[in-house]
Amino acid sequence: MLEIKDVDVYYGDLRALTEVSLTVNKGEIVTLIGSNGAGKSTTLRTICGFLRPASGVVRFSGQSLVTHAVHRIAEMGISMVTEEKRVFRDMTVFENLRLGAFMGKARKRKDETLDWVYKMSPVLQERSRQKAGTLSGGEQQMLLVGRALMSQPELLLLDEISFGLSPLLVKNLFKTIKEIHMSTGMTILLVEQNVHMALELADRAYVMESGAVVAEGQAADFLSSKQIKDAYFGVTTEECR
Amino acid sequence: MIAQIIMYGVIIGIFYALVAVGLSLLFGVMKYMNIAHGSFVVIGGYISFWLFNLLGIDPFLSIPFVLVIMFVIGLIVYGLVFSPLKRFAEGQRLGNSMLITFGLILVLDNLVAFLWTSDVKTITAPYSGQVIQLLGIRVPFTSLGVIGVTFAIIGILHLFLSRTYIGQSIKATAQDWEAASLLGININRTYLIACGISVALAGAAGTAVVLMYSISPYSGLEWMLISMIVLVFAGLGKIREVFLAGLALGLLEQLGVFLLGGHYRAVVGLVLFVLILILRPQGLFAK
Ligand SMILES: Nc1ncnc2c1ncn2[C@@H]1O[C@H](COP(=O)(O)OP(=O)(O)OP(=O)(O)O)[C@@H](O)[C@H]1O
Ligand SMILES: [Mg+2]
Repeated sequence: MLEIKDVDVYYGDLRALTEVSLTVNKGEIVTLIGSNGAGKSTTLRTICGFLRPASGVVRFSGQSLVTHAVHRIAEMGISMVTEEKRVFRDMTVFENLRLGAFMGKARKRKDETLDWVYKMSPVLQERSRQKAGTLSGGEQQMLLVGRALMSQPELLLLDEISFGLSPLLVKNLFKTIKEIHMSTGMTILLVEQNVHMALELADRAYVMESGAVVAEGQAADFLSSKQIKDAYFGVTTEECR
Repeated sequence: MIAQIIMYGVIIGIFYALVAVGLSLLFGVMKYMNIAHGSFVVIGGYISFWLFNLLGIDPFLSIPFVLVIMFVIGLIVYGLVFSPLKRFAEGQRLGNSMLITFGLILVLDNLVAFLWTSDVKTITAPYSGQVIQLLGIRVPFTSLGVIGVTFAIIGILHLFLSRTYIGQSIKATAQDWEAASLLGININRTYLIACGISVALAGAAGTAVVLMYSISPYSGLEWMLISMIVLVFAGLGKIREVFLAGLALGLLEQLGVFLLGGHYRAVVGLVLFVLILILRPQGLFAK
């Protein structure tokens, strides 16, 4: 469904991605892990069209993405929750969610989707009239996921949605993601610092280091192989226990 | 006396809000400054003047036409003036927008002088000069009409921004254009529409100006200054606070005129402008 091949991306003169290749198949959950500054967010921002690859291919359902504007790529069915918490603070929770269904085909079915999002996360319904800026960190994160879902994406990109949340909140958030995946079969590409939880959720994983993909495989294999675990995220996995 | 200061302050203040609201919208959404805003106010006034003189359309009734014509002009301005600014890095756009719209003033003002000569123009409608007694104070009929128009326009703008998808997409773009574009919102189109609305609002203010005062080709600067002061009062880019900011300026100005005399009317605003930039750069009403 999503195919990235030999992609190079630069920030000015600085090369942030070197020949990155990865694929995400329909219905999969794939996780992208790696230390700070490895290039995970850069990869997602390239898929969404904020960054243009200097070379390489980015294809979604057979169509090249590299010449399209961000909103065009969104219309093609890709939705992203970015690393920075980006709710529309001065708008209510409801208004945020409604904007999620801005695009034509999602707009027609926005009432159903909204019911579904509210069911998934009742706290959003309770706070629907409240300004998004007044929500707690976990609630804002839930709102961002809900807003992304309102556009009924085919591919959902999630960038460190667990960042800054308490372990309990993270657990709930991941449970919700899992439910979404189970009920819709939505394809998800997940970037996470929380390696252990990401691997438990995902089907496959890619490991990035200094702007390149250095390993890939089944998530279960990564989880069971102590060697790989220690090599790539020794500290992090310990912390997760 | 106090009652009169308050009454005139409120009337002029509400009118000031109308003058400034378009500029506030433009800055809030695009983070561009349109120094030529006052010139668009003047052009709106001339269009009303023409519609009245050539076609006999009442200035209040001409406002919808002015809005439409100025909206189209705003679209053109976006395409020719603001859209090319996207080439610049984000940090340089504000400064460049000021430079290029400063140049635009020269073009517009000379165009206006060419089209309408440099004579001072005003509209004398059948009801001009009529006054109404309000709480014992004589208030010109046109001023009350302008207040009604301002409430209607700001009310409609508010409904548009909060109730329609396009309006909501404008608000979202103003807060965070990257997040908005990820939701499938076409940022360029949003900017285009916002610029059209901004110039249309300037035009409607022009109708008010030509009714309450007069216009001439080079009088845009005065309205630009008023708009800037209101914007600084409101806090840059805050649309909702513009109404209160206009009121505040109107009242303080009238108070200044009462205490210091009419010569100092403009000075009061400018002094407050500087004071607020120094003491409360986030605006009078920020929490
Ligand atoms: N806007 C930018 N301008 C210049 N360099 C940048 C920019 N954003 C990121 N970089 C650099 O690109 C590299 C990859 O950054 P990226 O944000 O993709 O990493 P990441 O894997 O998402 O890290 P993290 O886990 O901290 O989010 C880093 O070296 C970073 O310093
Ligand atoms: Mg990142």
